[in-house]
Amino acid sequence: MIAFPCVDRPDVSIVMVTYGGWEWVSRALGAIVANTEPCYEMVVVDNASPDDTGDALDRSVLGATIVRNDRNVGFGPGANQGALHAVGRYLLFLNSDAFVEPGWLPPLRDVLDRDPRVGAVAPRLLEPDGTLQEAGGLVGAGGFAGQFGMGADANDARYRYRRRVDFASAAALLVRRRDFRAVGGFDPAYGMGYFEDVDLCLDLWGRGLATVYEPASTVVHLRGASTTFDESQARAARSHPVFLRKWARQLAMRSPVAELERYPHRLVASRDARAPDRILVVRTGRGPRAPIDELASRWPDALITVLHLDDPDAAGDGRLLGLGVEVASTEDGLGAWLAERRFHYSVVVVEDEGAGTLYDGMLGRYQPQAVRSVATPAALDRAMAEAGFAPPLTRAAQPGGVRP
Amino acid sequence: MARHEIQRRCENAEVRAFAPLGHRHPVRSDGGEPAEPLGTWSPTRAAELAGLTDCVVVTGELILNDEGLGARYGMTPGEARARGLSRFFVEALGAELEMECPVVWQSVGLTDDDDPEVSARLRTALARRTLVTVRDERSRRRLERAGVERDVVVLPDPILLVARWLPESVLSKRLAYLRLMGWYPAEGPVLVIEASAQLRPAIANVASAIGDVEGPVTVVVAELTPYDGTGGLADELAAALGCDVFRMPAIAGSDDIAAALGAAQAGFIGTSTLGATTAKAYGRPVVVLDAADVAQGSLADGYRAARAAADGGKELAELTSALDRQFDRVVEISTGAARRRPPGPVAGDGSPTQIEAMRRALAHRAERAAAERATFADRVVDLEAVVARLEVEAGHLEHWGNSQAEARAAAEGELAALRATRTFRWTYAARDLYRRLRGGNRLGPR
Repeated sequence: MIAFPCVDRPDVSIVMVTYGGWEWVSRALGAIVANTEPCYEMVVVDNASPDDTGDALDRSVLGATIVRNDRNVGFGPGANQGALHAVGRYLLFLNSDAFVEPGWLPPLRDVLDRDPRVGAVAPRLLEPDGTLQEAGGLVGAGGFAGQFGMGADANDARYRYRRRVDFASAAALLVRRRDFRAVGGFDPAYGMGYFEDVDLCLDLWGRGLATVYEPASTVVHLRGASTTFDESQARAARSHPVFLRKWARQLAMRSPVAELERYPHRLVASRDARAPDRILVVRTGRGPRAPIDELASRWPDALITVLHLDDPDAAGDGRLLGLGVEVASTEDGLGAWLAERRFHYSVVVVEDEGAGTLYDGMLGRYQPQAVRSVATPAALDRAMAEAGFAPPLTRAAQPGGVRP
Repeated sequence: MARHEIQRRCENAEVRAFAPLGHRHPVRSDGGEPAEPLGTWSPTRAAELAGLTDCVVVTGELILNDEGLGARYGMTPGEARARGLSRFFVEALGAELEMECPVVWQSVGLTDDDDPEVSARLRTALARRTLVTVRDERSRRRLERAGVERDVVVLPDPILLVARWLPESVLSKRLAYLRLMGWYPAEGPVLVIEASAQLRPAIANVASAIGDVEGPVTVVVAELTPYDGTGGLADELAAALGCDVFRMPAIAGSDDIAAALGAAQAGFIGTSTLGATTAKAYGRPVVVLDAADVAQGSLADGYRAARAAADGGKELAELTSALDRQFDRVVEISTGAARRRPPGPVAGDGSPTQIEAMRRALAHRAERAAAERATFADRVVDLEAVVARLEVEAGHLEHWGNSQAEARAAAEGELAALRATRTFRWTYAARDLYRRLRGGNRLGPR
């Protein structure tokens, strides 16, 4: 028996759509009960499971709203149906084969609580073997929509900082109920599934609401527990033209996410497309340190990358990662690293003023567009202004000090 | 809708929604935007609310006795009276505070409950009220029976302006969803019938009214106010009509109801004023049932007349203008009250909507610029590859050039050596003769 807590005023409505696979469904529901503080209600929409999952839900689950459809309406419509039953401020869409880890929910809620300009937030998705499945998604020309970081080491610093993303998979996605309603929910045009989560996030972006990847929250996702690989491919093939037709104009200005060996800059260009204000801090171990915390709070929408040329192990600086700062190092030298980020940055700060000229050639070749600065506060302010950044936030205006 | 209309006119205004329990009693219909709780009425609480605001707008359908209102929230009569919930709607802030902080009744809907105690409270409270409008004749008559002696204007519920709030893109998305779920027909004229207790006795008349209509009509039964679900009534209606009907679930949201009514070419029959007003907003024929309509024939006549009259145009335009004037007046009252207050913190320059629009435009421009840089980077990579290739070719050419120069130098050296030999010098005359015999010029000097 899986018993959900009785919560008087749930703040979060967790919506799960099931289609068979009771073994995973029960495990997913059990993980919610075990790893979630009682601030939520549970809504399960069963899409006429071909096995006994529907009956098992009725039999084995207490304290949840169970809706049983007499036919499979697909993920998006099923999720919309679950949302109609919700009373929470927030909706959390969770796949029936997604298992939440301890402490998963507060970091997601924090993001929405603190910044009204964020519309959706997603956790780090892991494969069952612990490798990374998704650190947010990115779109590219030609209707490309892919999971960033698939197959990588989940603890790699490249995937451990909070950042704005094009979309995140609805395998685990927290949105405000009012924003979900405002865009009309998941578009039924995508039928049984695929691309409806991309569509939802792009719809939210269209209303000025960001989607954020929050790696402080972790969910393990099995994938494919309710569909076969062939059926998944078929659904994706049917949905892709719908997606392409709807978003052709917006996607046209994007780089293709292809030929990455020849054009390595395309990957970070797509990864950071939603953070066009970008600051690179080159840290050599000499010279005054740039005030990263202050940069992060005064320009919360900017992507800040701290490149450690002094200490390759510093890339795991958890404190900076927690601020949403990219912390990087390179064994291939500055030139090779910059080549993969050609024309990427708005401002480049070389902390060691004396060493700045050493890098002139490489910076001139790979970041000619960037405003150069040293690390003093006055110089940084001038550099941001020259780069066209919006005026820095005052303390009163900062959205709770949490960078999306 | 009221919040939307006020905010549209006064973008710097902060509009806060309050309800008896607010977010302490979250419901599906709050759409994820629960109101703030009003709490328990007291002079202190009234003063607190008056301090927060320049104007109080009371709107929606009201239940004016505490027991009835409390029952909606699962309270006992004693608890409801202790909280004084209805006082927020009738007495509002109290006479003294209302002089500084005006209270407006905006398209309020009243029930037929002729409680003498409530009537007395209404007479006292509404005598001082800055503006009083109710949403239908029934509500106006209620005030008349209560002895309220002041002009009371009938204005439709602001839901009449729903098309301003609900974009067409969202409406069509929800309609597609309703059709996919089998709750709404895919095509053809639709008549939405409200599932309600008043309609149950009139099912035969409804069926007769529908049968009177020329051409096919598909019926959709929807629950607009809390009832018993659509199942029983839908079954009875289907039996009376001799064909199946579509059933919208009770959980359908307000945007789903709007989508259903907006697409209902054959109109709406029901008791809900909100439902009727929404259908009217989209130019659909409307029949609002009351007890008199249960009589045989009148419903069919009424429906026929409604279909004939429903061009939407003139009446809708007049009602919309009236509502616009009302909201203009509400904003005028609010800003007047705000000006009379002592100076406080000054709001920033520029309306929030303008600032947000500029922020988004700048963000889009920055994204576009970054995307253009990435495309430019592609071109630079391509050109660098071309340059690298050309450099290699140039290197090859230089090497070939060098080797050719070396070969030429070697050949010239050999020729010079040959010319320096005695054989070459002694054979000059013979070579010269041979050349002239071949038609060539004389050889050069020896």
